[in-house]
Amino acid sequence: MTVERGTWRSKLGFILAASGSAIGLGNIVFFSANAYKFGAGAFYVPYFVALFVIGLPIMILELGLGRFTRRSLPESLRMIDGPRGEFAGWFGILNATIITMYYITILGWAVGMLVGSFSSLWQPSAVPAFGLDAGVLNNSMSYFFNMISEYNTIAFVALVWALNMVVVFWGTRSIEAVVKIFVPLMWVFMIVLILRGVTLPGGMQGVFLLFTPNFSVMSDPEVWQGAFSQMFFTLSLGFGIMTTYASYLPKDSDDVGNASSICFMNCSFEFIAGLAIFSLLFAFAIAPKASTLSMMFFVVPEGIAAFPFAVKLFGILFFVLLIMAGLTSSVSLVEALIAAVLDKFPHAGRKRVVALVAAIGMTGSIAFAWPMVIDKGLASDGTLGLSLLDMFDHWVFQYGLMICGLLECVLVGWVYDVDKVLAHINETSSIKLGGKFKVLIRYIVPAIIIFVIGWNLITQELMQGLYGTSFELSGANWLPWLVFAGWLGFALGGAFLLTRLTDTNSEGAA
Amino acid sequence: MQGRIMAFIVAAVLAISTSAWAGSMTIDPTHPKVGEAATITVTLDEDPGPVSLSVTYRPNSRTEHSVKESAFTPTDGLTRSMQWTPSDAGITALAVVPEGEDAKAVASTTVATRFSGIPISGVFIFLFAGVVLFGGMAWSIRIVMQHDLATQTGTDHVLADD
Repeated sequence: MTVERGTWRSKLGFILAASGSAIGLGNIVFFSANAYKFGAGAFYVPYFVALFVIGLPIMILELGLGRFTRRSLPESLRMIDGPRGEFAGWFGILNATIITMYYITILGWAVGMLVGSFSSLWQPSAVPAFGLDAGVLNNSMSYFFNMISEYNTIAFVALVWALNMVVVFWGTRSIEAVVKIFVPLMWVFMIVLILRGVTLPGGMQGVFLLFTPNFSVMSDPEVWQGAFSQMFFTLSLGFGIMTTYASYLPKDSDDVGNASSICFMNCSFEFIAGLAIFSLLFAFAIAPKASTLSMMFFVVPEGIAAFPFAVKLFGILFFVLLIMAGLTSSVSLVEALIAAVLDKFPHAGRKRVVALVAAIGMTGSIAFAWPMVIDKGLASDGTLGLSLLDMFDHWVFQYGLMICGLLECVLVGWVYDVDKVLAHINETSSIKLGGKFKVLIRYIVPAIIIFVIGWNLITQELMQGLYGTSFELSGANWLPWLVFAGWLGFALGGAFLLTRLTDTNSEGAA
Repeated sequence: MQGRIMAFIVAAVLAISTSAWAGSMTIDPTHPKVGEAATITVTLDEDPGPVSLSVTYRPNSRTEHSVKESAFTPTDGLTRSMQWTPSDAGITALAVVPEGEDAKAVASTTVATRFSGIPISGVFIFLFAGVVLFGGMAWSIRIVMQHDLATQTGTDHVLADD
């Protein structure tokens, strides 16, 4: 049985949806943190290498797969390599499902900070948090930790899930309608923040700081690893999103043009976000931290709190921007999962699948928001939910998605016939790809991903121990092992089970 | 979609909450400039003996480097001052440290050190990156919009350029 598949109503609608998916919370703050950490302007060298060597080729591959098979990731990989391919696809989708759960928790916290912006978040006097005295943490940190240790925060998470459900309910039609408003608004809001940032005393100096290179870091492997990881994550590669979105395109769409549009739009947004963040940080002499959460909930708000006027207005603007960027990304994650389930079980119907995904997803999000305090002194992450989030994020991002990207390249480049995919892409693309694309997919991209995974394994798990074992967990020292086992069980075990389930929608190989 | 969400040990984050443990620091001018002397004055709560200035350029980055400057000169009671000439632009962490091994800082602050002029290499990279990214965006969107859509498949919605 096949179901009627949604289709994007316009080319621009697809590009906005796909770039809205790629432009997320990390674009706004994480690029800036990485650029600061890895040699400022010099970081653009590995960044551009990563864009052209990893970002664009995998984006083209994922779009090509989706358009070629007109299926979401598991079914499209099944079409090119049977159950092994489907297993790889589900592995990617289930990793993305974990991300969906905690990403929506983080969005719920952003909603909480937005609500706080209307009340006490920006008050000038120091606020105590947890077991710490007033003034030990800056006010945004105190507000954040007080907020995540209260049960009513779960209501914000439920609200974000409800928003996601509304947006994905009618599929491409409703997604397209929302991104056509949100994505342009995100650009406008970011430009307003840039204007505010560069007009602060010393703001332009922050821009100089962002772009002035320090090439002494170029021989540091961690800088290259950082750039490759950044590119992989910022473009939503390995999540199954791009394959799903491309499966809603007409058969004669331009894969290379679409992939280039998404990549350049995403990276351009990072470029301007860097201007806003660096001007702000320099003006108030704040050193960035290489973590999205600390940047968006502590560091940038610390700068906004120091504005000479309109603190509340810019605070609200910033959190609204975060919520819009996060929502266009979370919607794409949810849609990728819904499409994968619908492709596998077409008889289930969209309404039932949406309800099922919401129920399972919200349960996971509530676990990540669980406010039980397990670390009063904030030596680690404070609450149980945040500790879970931190540890799951480590496994999914450092390994899960990279492995999925590697499997995609191996399946297309070695198991299937890369020439067939290349011919299919070239058939309708304005720019024809040559043999270099084959070399990239077969050799270079897999080699780089293996380098990044190997680097992470050696420098983190082997040299520092299993992630999370150094955390302060109030007697729950088994938690890191449980999370590790939970990740493997959910992603590998779940992929195995879903692959084994009866396929009611097999249509043979492409 | 995003970059790394977490990497989020709060103990490290706590470092951003500053930090005048036993004294206060002022810098004149407030935003020092590379190659130009600035006056640093520290007022201590109690006398820790001779103190010197520890300067960390671009903290929390791979280019972080620290320099120990010469000792402060006592001026008036618990107030000390010295001239400091920054050698590198960017976020700079300053700490007043008593003499002796393993001594902890008695006062600290963070300043934004300005460039001495407009950094040409920075302007070049700004222009280069901007042209590549925004030029690439404009070029690729143009290609997609001009792409000829001769046939339709799927549920046969007609694609229309916006």
